[in-house]
Amino acid sequence: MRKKILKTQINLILLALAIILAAVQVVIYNQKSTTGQDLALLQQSISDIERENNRLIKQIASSSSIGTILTKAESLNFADNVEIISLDASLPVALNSASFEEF
Amino acid sequence: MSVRLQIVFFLFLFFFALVIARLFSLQIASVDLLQGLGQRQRLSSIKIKSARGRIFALDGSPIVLNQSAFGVYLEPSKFKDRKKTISTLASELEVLESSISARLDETSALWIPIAHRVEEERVEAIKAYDLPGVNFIEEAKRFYPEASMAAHLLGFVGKDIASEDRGYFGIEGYYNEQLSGRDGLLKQEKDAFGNPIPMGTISKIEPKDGRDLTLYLDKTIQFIIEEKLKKGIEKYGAEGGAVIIADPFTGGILASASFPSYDPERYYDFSEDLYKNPVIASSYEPGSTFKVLILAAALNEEKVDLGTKYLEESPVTIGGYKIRTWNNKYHGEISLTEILEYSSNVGMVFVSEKLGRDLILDYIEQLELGKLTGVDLQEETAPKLRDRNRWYEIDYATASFGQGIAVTPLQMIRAVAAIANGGKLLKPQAVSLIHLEDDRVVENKPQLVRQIFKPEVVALAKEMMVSAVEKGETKYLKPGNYRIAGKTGTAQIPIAGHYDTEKTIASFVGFAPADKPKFVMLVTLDRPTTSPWGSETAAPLFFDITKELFVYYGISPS
Repeated sequence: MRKKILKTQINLILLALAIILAAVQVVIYNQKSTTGQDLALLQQSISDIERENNRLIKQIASSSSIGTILTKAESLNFADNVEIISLDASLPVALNSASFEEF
Repeated sequence: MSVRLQIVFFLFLFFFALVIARLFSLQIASVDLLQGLGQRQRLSSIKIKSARGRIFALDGSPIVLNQSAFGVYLEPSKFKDRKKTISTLASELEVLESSISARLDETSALWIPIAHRVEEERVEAIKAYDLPGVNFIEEAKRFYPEASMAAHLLGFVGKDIASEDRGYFGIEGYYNEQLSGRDGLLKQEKDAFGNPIPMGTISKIEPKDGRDLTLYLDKTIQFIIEEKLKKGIEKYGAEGGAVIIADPFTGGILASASFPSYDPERYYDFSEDLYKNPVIASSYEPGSTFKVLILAAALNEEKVDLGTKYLEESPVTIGGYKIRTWNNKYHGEISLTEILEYSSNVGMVFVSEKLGRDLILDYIEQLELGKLTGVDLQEETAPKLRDRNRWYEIDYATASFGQGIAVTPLQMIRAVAAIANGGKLLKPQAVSLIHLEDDRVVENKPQLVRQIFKPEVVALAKEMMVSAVEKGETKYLKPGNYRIAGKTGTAQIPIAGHYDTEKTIASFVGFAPADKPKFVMLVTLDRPTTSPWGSETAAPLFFDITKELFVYYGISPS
């Protein structure tokens, strides 16, 4: 008799477990079925961010190009100065010893 | 009764056999096909484009980057208003309506490409019209922050026969394998709405981006020479010109410009004749600039020395040809240094005779003038030298002053760099670093081809070149108190077996500061009209650039 009761209890527990697991599976699949859309959105976000990064890199490179800097410098009235002035090491005529001797 | 049973039995058996046969067909015979069809239905394969390697200047600033762009494709069957679609696209893409119409009419394809590499901003503008039947596919496009700077050196990216990106000319062409990455592939299970199934099958082959390159190119110097060369060509009424600057101790090309040029972003709008880099793919007769090499060779072989004198008193006749000085003036007894100062052709004939025929050819071969320099640029060519047995007496004489022998500007600058760097012939290089995966870097180290001149000979040759600048035709052009070594050149242009009497290629080759050279530079001007002489056209341009380089490098007068 006790053996029969035990058997029934085990069956009930197994049945309950099966029902619970089935319910859990339904819940999980329900959740997962909507995460596909989230995943697609995330992939789209990654793609957008990468594109935005490329756009910013392009802008930085453009802004720091020599052509852009030159245009900005000209608009700020910076002058191009490459005139090389060489200072002669020889003494001025008035201080030159040879000149003194002549006087 | 038994007959009816038997009929039913055989009917059942027949239908059962049909089911078995069908199952065999579906599950065994056609399994691959059906599996593939099933996978195609639920699996999406996305090609993950690899990024082409970027190109950086010596200071690490970008010269070539990638940007997002799109191909524009049309599906005529989905058009709502064909005329409106075509006119809108024509105005946004800046093409003629007729060209789009013609493209649609010439094919019955369902998917018709009408534009490639359209910038993102333009695509956004087209999308705003919400035109059915207009589709976009992402493509990579090169972006040049410095616009068309160094176009000949860089090359461009076009399409190959499989419509895949491919580099052509210059660095893009030579390093195409390194710059091209390997595309990846993402296979993902998707639901009926096209959304990915997270628990489904996912397989991914990661893309491998192309390798980045760092050049020896200094973009400030490049900018300087391009500006100066443009103005120089205009000022001297030349048809074109080139400037190349190299580091004499590494062989690295610091800057290289030639005009006319093209825009690598819109290469298809320019003539194909402009794609080749004249610095490596065109040849010219170096004229008097070649004298420094023959003189250095004669000194190296100890056939002449500083005490050698030559009596310059009249033209000389070689093999029936009369050779004169460039201005038909004769200075009596002159030294080797004065031969270079006066740029004396007859003096150089004397030096070549001292050097001897075999040694002239030996040095031309040792300077590798008939061979490719091996520079890492795609379209290099080398003018072929005559065979040894086809050199006549007059050829040795004219070669001594740079006529009758053809070189590329790169070959010439490399040979003169050997005088600047202590006698070493180096392999010229455009790329300094190749950036591998995992931040590893491969360095293109300077490559010595051979020691060609002795260091003591180089010191003498340098002094002669300095003297040629300070006492020659260019003495009023050089910036004061700087020691610059150089030599002018004016070469006639061979046309149909004779020399053009009026048109010349004017050039100037030199390095500075002479004692510790920072750069070696060659300037060539093609057919200048204000004056045919190198001393009045190429030389002023050379010194104009040199002055700016002294300021840029912070080189003080000596």
